[in-house]
Amino acid sequence: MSDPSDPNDSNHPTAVSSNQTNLLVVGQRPLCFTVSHYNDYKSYAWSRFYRNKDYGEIGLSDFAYNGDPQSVTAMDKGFIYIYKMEGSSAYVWKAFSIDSGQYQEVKVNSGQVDYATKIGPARDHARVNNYFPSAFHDVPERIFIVDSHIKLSQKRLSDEVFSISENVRDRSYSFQLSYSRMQDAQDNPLSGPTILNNYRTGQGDAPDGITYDLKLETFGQYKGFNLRRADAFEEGARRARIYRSRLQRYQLWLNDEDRNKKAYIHQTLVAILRKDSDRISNLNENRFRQWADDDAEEYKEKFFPVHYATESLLEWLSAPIFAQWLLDYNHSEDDDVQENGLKAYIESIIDLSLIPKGREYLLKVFEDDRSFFNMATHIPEIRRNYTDPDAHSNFAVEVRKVSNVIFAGLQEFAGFIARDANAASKISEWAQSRGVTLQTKQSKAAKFTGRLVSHIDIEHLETAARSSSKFVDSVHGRSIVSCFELVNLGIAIYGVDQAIRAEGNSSYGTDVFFSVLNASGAISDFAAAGLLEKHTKRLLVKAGRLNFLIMFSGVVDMVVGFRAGYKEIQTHDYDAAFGWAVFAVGGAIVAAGGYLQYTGGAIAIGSGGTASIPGGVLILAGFIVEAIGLLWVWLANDDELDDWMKACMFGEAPSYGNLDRDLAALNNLMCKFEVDATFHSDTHVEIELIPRLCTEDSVFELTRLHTDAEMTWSEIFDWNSDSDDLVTGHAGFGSRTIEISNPSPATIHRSGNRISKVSISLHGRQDIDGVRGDARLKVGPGGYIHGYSTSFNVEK
Amino acid sequence: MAKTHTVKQGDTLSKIARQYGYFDYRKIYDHPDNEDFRELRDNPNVLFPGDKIVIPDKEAEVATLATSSTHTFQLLTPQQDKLSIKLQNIYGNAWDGKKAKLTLGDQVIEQVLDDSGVISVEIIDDSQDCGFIELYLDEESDEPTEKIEIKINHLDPVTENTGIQARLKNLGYDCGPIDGKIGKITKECIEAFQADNELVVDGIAGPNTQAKLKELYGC
Repeated sequence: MSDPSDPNDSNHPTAVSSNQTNLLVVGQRPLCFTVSHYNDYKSYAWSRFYRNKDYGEIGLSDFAYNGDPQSVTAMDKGFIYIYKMEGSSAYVWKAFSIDSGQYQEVKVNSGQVDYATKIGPARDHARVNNYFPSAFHDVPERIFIVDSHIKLSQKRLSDEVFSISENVRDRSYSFQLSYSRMQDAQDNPLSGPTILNNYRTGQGDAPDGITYDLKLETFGQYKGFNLRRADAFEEGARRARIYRSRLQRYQLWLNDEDRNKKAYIHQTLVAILRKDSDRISNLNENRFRQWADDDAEEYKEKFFPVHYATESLLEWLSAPIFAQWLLDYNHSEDDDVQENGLKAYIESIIDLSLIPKGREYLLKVFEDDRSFFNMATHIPEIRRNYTDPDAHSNFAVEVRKVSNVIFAGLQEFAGFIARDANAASKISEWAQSRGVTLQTKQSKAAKFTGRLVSHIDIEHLETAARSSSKFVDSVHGRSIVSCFELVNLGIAIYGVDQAIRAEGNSSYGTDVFFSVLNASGAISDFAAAGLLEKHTKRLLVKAGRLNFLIMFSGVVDMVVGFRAGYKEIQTHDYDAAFGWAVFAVGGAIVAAGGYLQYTGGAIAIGSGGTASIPGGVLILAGFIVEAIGLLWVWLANDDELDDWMKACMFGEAPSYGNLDRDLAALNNLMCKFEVDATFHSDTHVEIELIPRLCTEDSVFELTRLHTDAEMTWSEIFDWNSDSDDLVTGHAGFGSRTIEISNPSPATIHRSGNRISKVSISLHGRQDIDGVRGDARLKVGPGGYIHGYSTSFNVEK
Repeated sequence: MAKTHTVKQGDTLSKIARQYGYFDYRKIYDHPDNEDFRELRDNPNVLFPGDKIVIPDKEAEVATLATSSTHTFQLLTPQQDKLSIKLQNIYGNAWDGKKAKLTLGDQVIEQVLDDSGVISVEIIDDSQDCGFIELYLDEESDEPTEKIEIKINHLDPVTENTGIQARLKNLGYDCGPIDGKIGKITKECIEAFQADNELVVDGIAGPNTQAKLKELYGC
């Protein structure tokens, strides 16, 4: 029985006329469908390498998106475009707008979508009337369904920008099934999860473009389907969240203070044993080896999930569907939409620079003029302008869109843009507000809307950087300065690239350089690149403000020192090599020492709230091992070394009691120095500090300095003694600070490049028969990190 | 004295003519008294309930005959209505080669459609105003793919809402029951039809839309 109120009920008689040929169009069916987006993607633990353990592999494939069809969200708002092919090009055939889950067909006229002209009523599904020519095997023309949260611009609709005909698979779901065969959709054997699962278990071929699931649904009397597709941005954000969450867990472990202290001791022992394997007898070998095995296993359990999450995220960032969405947003005619696209992208790459693979990706992004980020930010144009000498005098930056969103992106490249401490500080300030600015529009920086609309004259970049704080803090100023940072970024990338190319003839040096790039953070990337370009002073990140900078500075010292030392060794200039080696070990100790200052987990570096130093001590291990091995010959006293090895936590008779004491003893071993004095006259004494390890930026502090005057037997019986010689008592000299980099009035004595002695004179008004006090050596930039303290009392 | 017939649903001019003893409906349609009606309904096969048709008085035919002769008179039988239906798909192609079956009461016509796609039948029983057509698109099945119920002589003029609805429905735009109400379903169909035929999409079946409907449907 027909129901007149049911729009889907066509069971009403057909009126015809006799004596007249009546035309009946028969057999057609409408195409009915809805679109949903996956909430989640199946997380598979492949057993590719480790069959008995779940290391958190997410599952990778050739752009096959293993969405979970059991968990989807119906598209509530957005647009559907249905394309047809005509020859090799495509044209928009039908269009729907979706609002509150209601699909409203709108008019399409010669490829132009007229959103204001509605066709038919809004429904809870999209309906294309008369789509199927028959109820059985006749297959209608192929169509392509593109779903989008935004109105596509005319460029994107009309094939002008990366035409849909070239990217059909990426942009759309294509439909070409007869009405009757649509029922197969319910048990679609090609659903993403099934195929992936079969692929993994060897029961199927490699998946190819499984980007959807279909679920058969009934709309009134018609069969139709629910099309499940990826929400590219949501999926990017989801994978990024997984990545960051795993990274955080990994770093919590990696940065665990206790573990790192053990690792540092262990690696030091490894270095010693590499130099002299007989010393293994000092250790409890079982405990020594077991710890390494356990740590390696723990490393796998902690790092592999990060590795797979990184691969998964990078796969998505490179996925065609993601790229197509970005293009949709980037070519939108709405500036807010453009910015939202950039925001979505940046939210997906946050913290990516903390993993080498992520940095590789970011570098590629910056090298590719056609990458979304470059297109959205116009960095290549800015870079070209900046590098054009003629443009310097009247530098014009063409700005398209600059806002805090970009600042967040810049954070990923902090190493490339932190040219000096000011810049680092500035980034830090911005980054700290990033969490807010990304989620609210209130503090959004000014937008320069449209395409290349603003031309901002900057008298000179350096001047601009030093603009008044008021200006820099202004919305307009921040935008301009962000431009400036973008320029730096481009330059830095260029510098890295050049440095890498320049090292082509020295494979070892290049290896070292790359190792450092991989081992340390982005800051050190940039700084190291700068050093290699011999622009050390200008580019080196100055330590002092932020602890993490101290550590990175140490890394830089270490790498540069070791690399230079290695070259000296190659030329048999061992004296020079020693100096560089001291420099390298100093860097290593500084880095490790700085590192160990942080307790229990994530290190809030200046450029971001949640970011942390990747790697930790273990990453530095290679350098520590080699550098310590190289230096040990000169620095260590055999007996002291054996004693320490026996007493440390891996020794045959641990006696220090805790790790801190272990480390302190090791530190003392390396940084120990002796104090001597030369009494030049009755009132002049020269204190001599004889270090084992002293870097160019170390500091000696002498405190509670006193000289003593005594009536010695020799003075009593010396006919030449005067009354002054016979006085007793002491004189206070307060304290002295000796910066190696600025030692005056102290004197630095060198043996080759090595700092062999530091001396400072004291002149008294009375007899000096002895000198005493406390001496402390602080190693590292600014002398803030590590050192050795001793009290001394030297008598004539 | 001439009578006036008010058309009711299911009437055809042939049927009316037979009812009043005319063998040829044209005697009525072409009568000068029906000039207004002709202007209103240019197609005599499409009437609308409530239409007024003048039934002229029958004029006795006088035959002058010779006596003592046998004369043969051939009595014309009343014209029967003929129902013709063309079946085609949405691309405008006839369902050539497909089996179709037209059932009107006891009358059953079954044929394989030719390239015209037309199936026809002379309606024997005037009182039979409904039937159905079955179309067998799946050659491997004995079950009809499509079964379309038809109401004979219920097609109203295109100027009427019911006529618009019926034509839309027959052309594949399913606007639900043919009730003369331009509700949201009918409006949707009109819009879809207008969009498909590059007319102004406004959901109103004005003269242009009516003309297009008439052109495509054939009446």
